[in-house]
Order: sequence, then C-alpha cells, then structure tokens
Amino acid sequence: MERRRSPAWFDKDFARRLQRLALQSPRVLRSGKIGEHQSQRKGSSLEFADYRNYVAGDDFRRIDWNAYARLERLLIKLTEAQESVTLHLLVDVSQSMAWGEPTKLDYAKRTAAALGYVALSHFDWVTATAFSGQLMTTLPPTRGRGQMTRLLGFLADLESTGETRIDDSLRSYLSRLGRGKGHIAVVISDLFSQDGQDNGLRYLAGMAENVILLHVLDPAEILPDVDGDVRLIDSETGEPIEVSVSPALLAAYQRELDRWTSDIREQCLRRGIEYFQIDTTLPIENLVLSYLRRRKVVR
Amino acid sequence: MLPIGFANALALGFLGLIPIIIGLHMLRSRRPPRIVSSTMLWRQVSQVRVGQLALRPPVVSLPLLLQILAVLLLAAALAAPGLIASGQPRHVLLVLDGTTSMLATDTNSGASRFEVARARAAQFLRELPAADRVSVALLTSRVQFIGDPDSRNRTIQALADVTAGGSGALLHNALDVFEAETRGKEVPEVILLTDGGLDTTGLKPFPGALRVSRVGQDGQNQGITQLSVRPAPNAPNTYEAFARVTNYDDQAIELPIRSSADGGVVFDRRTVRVPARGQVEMVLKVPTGARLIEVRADAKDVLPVDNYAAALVSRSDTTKVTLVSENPAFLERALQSNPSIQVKTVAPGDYRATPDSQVTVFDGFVPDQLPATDLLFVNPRFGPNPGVSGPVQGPSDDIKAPVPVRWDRSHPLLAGVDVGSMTFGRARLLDLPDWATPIMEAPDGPLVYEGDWEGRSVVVLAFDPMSSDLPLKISYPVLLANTMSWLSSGGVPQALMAGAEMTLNPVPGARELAIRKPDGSVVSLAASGNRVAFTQTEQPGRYVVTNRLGNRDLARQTFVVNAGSDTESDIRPRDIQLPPADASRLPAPESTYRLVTQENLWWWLVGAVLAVLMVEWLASRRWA
Repeated sequence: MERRRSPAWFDKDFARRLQRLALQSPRVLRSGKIGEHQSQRKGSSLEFADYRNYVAGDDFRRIDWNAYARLERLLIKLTEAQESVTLHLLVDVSQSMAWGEPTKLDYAKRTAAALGYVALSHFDWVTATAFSGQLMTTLPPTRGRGQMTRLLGFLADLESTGETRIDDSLRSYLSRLGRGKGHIAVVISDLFSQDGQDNGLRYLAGMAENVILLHVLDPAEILPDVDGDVRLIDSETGEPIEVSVSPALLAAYQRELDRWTSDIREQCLRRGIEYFQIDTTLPIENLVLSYLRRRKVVR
Repeated sequence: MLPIGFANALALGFLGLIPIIIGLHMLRSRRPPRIVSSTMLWRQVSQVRVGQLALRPPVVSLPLLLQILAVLLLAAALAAPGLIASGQPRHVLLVLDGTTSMLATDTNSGASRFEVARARAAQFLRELPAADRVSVALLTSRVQFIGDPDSRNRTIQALADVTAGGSGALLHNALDVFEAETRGKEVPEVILLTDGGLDTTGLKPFPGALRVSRVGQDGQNQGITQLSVRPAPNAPNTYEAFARVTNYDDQAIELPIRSSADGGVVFDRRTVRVPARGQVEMVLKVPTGARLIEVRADAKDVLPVDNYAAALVSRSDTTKVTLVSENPAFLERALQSNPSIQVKTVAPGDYRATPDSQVTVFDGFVPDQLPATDLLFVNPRFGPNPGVSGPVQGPSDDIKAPVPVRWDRSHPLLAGVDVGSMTFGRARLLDLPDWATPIMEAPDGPLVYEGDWEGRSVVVLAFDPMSSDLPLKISYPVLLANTMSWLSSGGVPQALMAGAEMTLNPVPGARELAIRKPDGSVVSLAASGNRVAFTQTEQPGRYVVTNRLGNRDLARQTFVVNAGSDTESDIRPRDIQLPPADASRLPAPESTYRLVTQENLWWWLVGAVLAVLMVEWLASRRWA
C-alpha cells in the first residue's frame, strides 16, 4: 500500500518555532506517562525516558552534556519525573466545515496539525478524532515527533460529510476518554450543530483536565455578502430558506450571531472551557504563535 | 391655494396599476439559489419558509417605490392636471394677415412678412398665460379659424400648414364670429399680426382690447395691378389687352415688360418708365387666335408674385341680350359699347318670355314668368306676389341712400371697381337667397349678389342707378361690363384674384375634377352637381382643370389667378385705425371657474416617467 505523502502545511521555520512551544496545562496534571509536565509526585519519575532537542528557554541544567560530547548536539534529557499529557484533537468534519475560502475544515486541519506538532515535539500523547453526526475516524494515541507524519496523514485524509451533532459526538467520545488525568481536549468546530453543544461540552469538561473550544467561522458567516431576494440552501441538510435580504435583515442577523456566540461563551465560562472564536482569515502562524500563546493555550 | 382638477379624469384609472404592482411584489419570485454553510441563524431572523406562503408581505424596496412613482406620473400625465382658476377667463384671438402683401420679403431675416407673423403667432401661443384660451384666424380672401382654442400644440401645428395669398377678407367678419363665441363667457382680446393691409371696412367698436403687432418694413414694390382682355372696338374678331403697371417706389423706374400668348410666343416686348408712385397703362394687341395672355415685369422688388399677370381671352360668339326696361337709354348704350353683345330692347308691357337670347336684363321690372336664360336684375321692382319666390325676394321696401359696408373685392364682378367712390340714392330691400353669394352689402341688405338659380346664372344689382350720379362714375360701366362678361362666359372670369373662390362647372358625365396648380401639384375634387367650388387659389398663374370619368379625360378648362392689385401690391406698412373698445359689452363680472391645464406639463410628466423607469431599471439590476 502506497504511503500517503503528508501535506506541506507549514514550513521549516514555522515548525522550528512550534518546537519551542509547549501545551499549557493550567491544572495540576495527574498521569502515569512520561512527559515534560512536572509531576506532583515527589521522588518518582526520575528514570530516563527520552531526549529532545534543546530549544531556547530550556533549563540549562537539563542539558545532557554527555550526549553533547558524543553527538555535538544539545539534547534535553526527559525523565519520568516530568509527566506527559494527552492532547485530544476533535475536528468537526461536517458538511458546513467544507464552506468558505479557505474552507473551515482546511483551517481546522492545519490548526490541529500545529497543535499536534507542539504536543508531539514535547513527547505528549496525541490522539485525533473526526466527528460530524457521530464519531467518524480516530487516530489512536501516539507520541514522539516521529509520529507527526501519521498525524498529518490522518488529518489530510479527513473529508467533510454529514450533519453536525456535537452533543452526540462528544458524549460518544467520553467513553473512549475515561475520566482522565492530563487530558487536554481541543474541539475545532463551527458549532452549527443540529442538537446544540452545551451537554457535550459539559460532559467533556467533566472528564478532561482542560477543554479548549476553537470556534471557527468564515468572514462571510460573520458578515454575509448576500443581498436581495435569495434562496439560501443549507450545505448540511439541503433545506432551503427564502429570504429578502435588506439592511434591516442583515442587522438582525448580526444581532442573532452575537447572541449565539455570547450564549456559547457563557456556557464555556460556566464549564471552565476556554472558548476562542476564530476567523479563517487569521493566519495559522498568528493563531498559534501569537493568539493562542497570549491566551496561555501554549507557552 | 387653488384646487387641482383634471381635464381627463378617466385616466386616473391607471392608478389601479399600483395595487397590481404591489401584489406582484408580494408574490414570491423564483429566487437565485445560494449555498450557505448553515441556515441556522437565518431561520432565527426570517419568517419566510419555502412552501409556507404563496404571498409575502411587500418589501419596501427602491424598485417598488420607483414603479409606484412611475405609475403616479403616468396617470397624472394622461389625466392632464391643472389648476382650477376662478375669475374671468380670457380668450385671445390672434388674427394672422394672410393677404398677398404679406408675401413681401422686406424683413430683417429675409423671410416673408407672413412667415415672420406666423412665427410671432406661435410665440404668442407659447407665451400667453396658460389660463387663456387662444384662437387663431387667418385672413386671406376669406376668414379661416385654424387650430383648437383648447390645445396650443394643435394650433401651433396647424399654423405650420397655412399659406398666404389672396385678399378681400374683412377683419370685422372674424371679430364678429369671435365676439359671438366669447360673449358672456370670456374676456375677449385681439392681437392683429399684419402689415396694415387688412380690410377694416365695417369695423365696429370691439368689447375688448385690440392690439396690433406690425410686420414688414418700408418695402418698395412694382407690380402689374390690372390685366384684362376685351374685343377691339371697330375691329371685328380682334382683341386687345389692357395692362396697368404701378410703381410704389419713391423713385421712377424703367421696367422691361414682356408679353406672351398661350404660354410661349412673346408678342410684345418693351421697356416702360413708370413714375414714382405712379402708373403706366399699356394697350397690347392680342395675336389672332390667342387664348391666354401673360404679362411679366422684370422688377427686382420684394414682392415677386405681382410681377406676373395673366388673362383669358373670352372668344365667345356674339352674345344676344334682351333688355327689358322702361327707360333703356343708359343701359342700352352701356351694353352696346361691347362689340360682342347684340342688344334687343323690349318694354316691360311688350315682354314675352322667349328663349331667343342668352342673357335677359330686367331693369326695374320682374316678370311673372322668367325666361330660360341667364338673368341680370337691375333695381328689381315687383309686386307682392312675384317676389315671394324666385331669384329676387323680399318686402316691397326701399333702402334710402345705402352705404356699402362690406364687399368682396376679389370677385370678378368688382374687378377694377372702386366701391368707395360709388354712391347710391336708393335700393330695393332684398333677402339674400340661400343659393346666392353676396358681392356687396349695406347694413340692411345686399346691394349686389350672384348665384346659380334653377340652372341659370343670375346677377342682381339691387340699387337704382338712376337715383344718384352713379351713371356718371366710371365704376358703374365697369361693373356692368364685368357682369355681362361674367354672364356671357358662363361664370369663367378672365382672371381671378389670388385666394378668390373659383366656381367650376363640370361637363356632363364627369366624376372627378383634377386641378393642376401653377406649381405642378394636382388637387382632385369630386364632380358632384353642376357647380364645384375651388378655393385653393393662392398661387398666381395658370390652373388647368381636367374633367375625368375614370381614366378618361372628358374635357379640359383653364383659369388664371393674378396676385397683383391696387391694394395688395401697395405693400407699404400702414397703421390700422382701430375703433375704441366698447367696455359696455364686456361680460358681466360674475365669477366663473374653469380648469387651467398646462399642455407642456404633459411632456414634462412623460419625460419624468421615462427618467423614473430608467432609474428603476438600474435599481432593479442592483437590487436583483
């Protein structure tokens, strides 16, 4: 079977800058796995686990100078004392995500790839799952930068299909997750869900240590460029609706959009979920290196 | 604020299109499909669903508003809106002088006086207040009201089609009609567009303003003002032409004169010196056998039409005339002066109606039985019975010292007759029969009339020539000569004055008369009856009348028209003496109401409709 070539979603410079980042876990992590996230358990986890390249900002004391003498490369020694986290990338692949220029799905894939690369670079576990009306396909948990190709291949193969049902999908996902220690769940979706998202997010927040909701919207969904009498067809359901778009109707649409996103933001705030509304015109580099960094999603 | 009315209120029914347009906007149209990621948010803000409603509430859009505006403007345009004004409506009569002198081109622009006057009339029509009604009367040899007093545009269009030529129309005829039309309803006002040559004979004080807008400058002119052909005295079967050339210039002038016969052969060529403001009379020997004489003066003046004159040579055989008179001496001498007339005199007591003559002249006598000949009545005296029916009717009364107040100077009977110099001692009071045409009238009745009565040509001279010094005046024998020429020629004159009515006598069997005018154009008339009136005689020159039955030509007749005359060739602009206004005959100052429409507004509204529709088209493209 021919191995699928991974897409070139980011260049070397961006990859190098991603390597310097790490997922930020604001909570105290509990995990039996290795990683860079400091464990609460004293005296344990001092056993060597792996190396990684030195990046600016790392503690000099953790450089393995013996390895440097042999290989002339600065490597950071990873031990069991620093616990790892598991990054759950939940990507919405419903039909509505295939809309926009670029499509929201493409934007979601690239965002997931970037976050996954950050996690894999820090020896965190990464698992990715596509969902729409139900859970579609899942990349089993994997770690190590060498698994980046698998992750990219998995994401590249995702295609849009079906209607969005976030509640159902997330509740199904909980059975795989189990009550976790060190679980960071990142949900990337446009949230145009037929059944809402509140319950699913509530359950997810209860199971994962940290839940991040990236609400991806196209600019044309924020400020529609339709005018006059048109027959709007829902990309997921095919259901048409006839509207006569006037400045007054556009203003009403704006109010409805604000109300909707405010409700979601409030739900997230109540559940301890970090909510970010993202416009697909925002470059991925800016999103990860600046936007999410400033908001402490990565560090 | 004045209320608004509509001249054509039915057109407001077009407003019914507005609910139809709104209804069409309420119908759901087939809309262009547009795929969106989700309609979730749209459903929250729009109530319309596919299949739920056949109609929707109307969306107030720019195209809808523009369409409604277009219908409003269209209905308003068709309904002819106007203000309802109260007060005395005014009616203005524009009198356009169309006599021959108005063809003079002594204007700044080089156009004729008539063209300038016509343009000025159109200007008045455009500039007079919309509240005024405006009529236009054209005076040539007759009075012609043109256009429509309620439509300025139609009147302006009608103005473009009228032509000048002719003379003889009396101004007071137009004013009488106008006054009768406006009496008690509108304030009349008259504007005369003339060079001063209008005939103001019989003009009475007018119950309204009379203004003159004069055209023409001090144009100098020469013209042939008289041309007639008569048998040469003491020379049987020969004819001579009498031509008069008049110079209206302040300088004497030498004019080359060329005379030709039958349209080709020049039989006389001479140069005459015409004194300043004087005349030269010429006697020309008519070539044997010639039937048409034409005389041309090579004058470089501003009125070319009177530099030409023509006359037919009447080659009738000897006309037998029966004169029935108690005192025939004067009439007999006057008739016998014409070599082609053979006179037989009979006393009234000896008269028997016998058809042994062609013309019968009854002088002071009307028999019980009339002969089957053409008839001339002079001072008709009849008892109570004979006047009841027949060519002379009326009470057995006399008119004392009648004064002519109107006469048709273009009629051949009055050619060369100076009516102003004629005085009358008495005349019979006659009724004008329906079939007769008045030639000269006094306030109480006709003095001269002619017509066709039971197949006879009839001329009636109602006055008694012996009751005054009339027989001593030159005009009376001229009138008699014209009358005998008229009767003996069957009604075809030697020449007509431009604009005069020509009576045509179709030959038996003819169905159509085709008249070819001097400019080559042809006018067709139905040959119904034994007399057909032809009035389009404005052009001077030769007219050829062809009697037709289908495609077959049965007979051909000719008559000629001259433009020059003592009155029309004298083109010096003159002031018209107008009588003072007669304010006592103004309409009572009662308040009346009438709709004042502005015709130009119609075009503006239609233009606005087109503009709105164009904007609507652009808006619809953008809105779609």
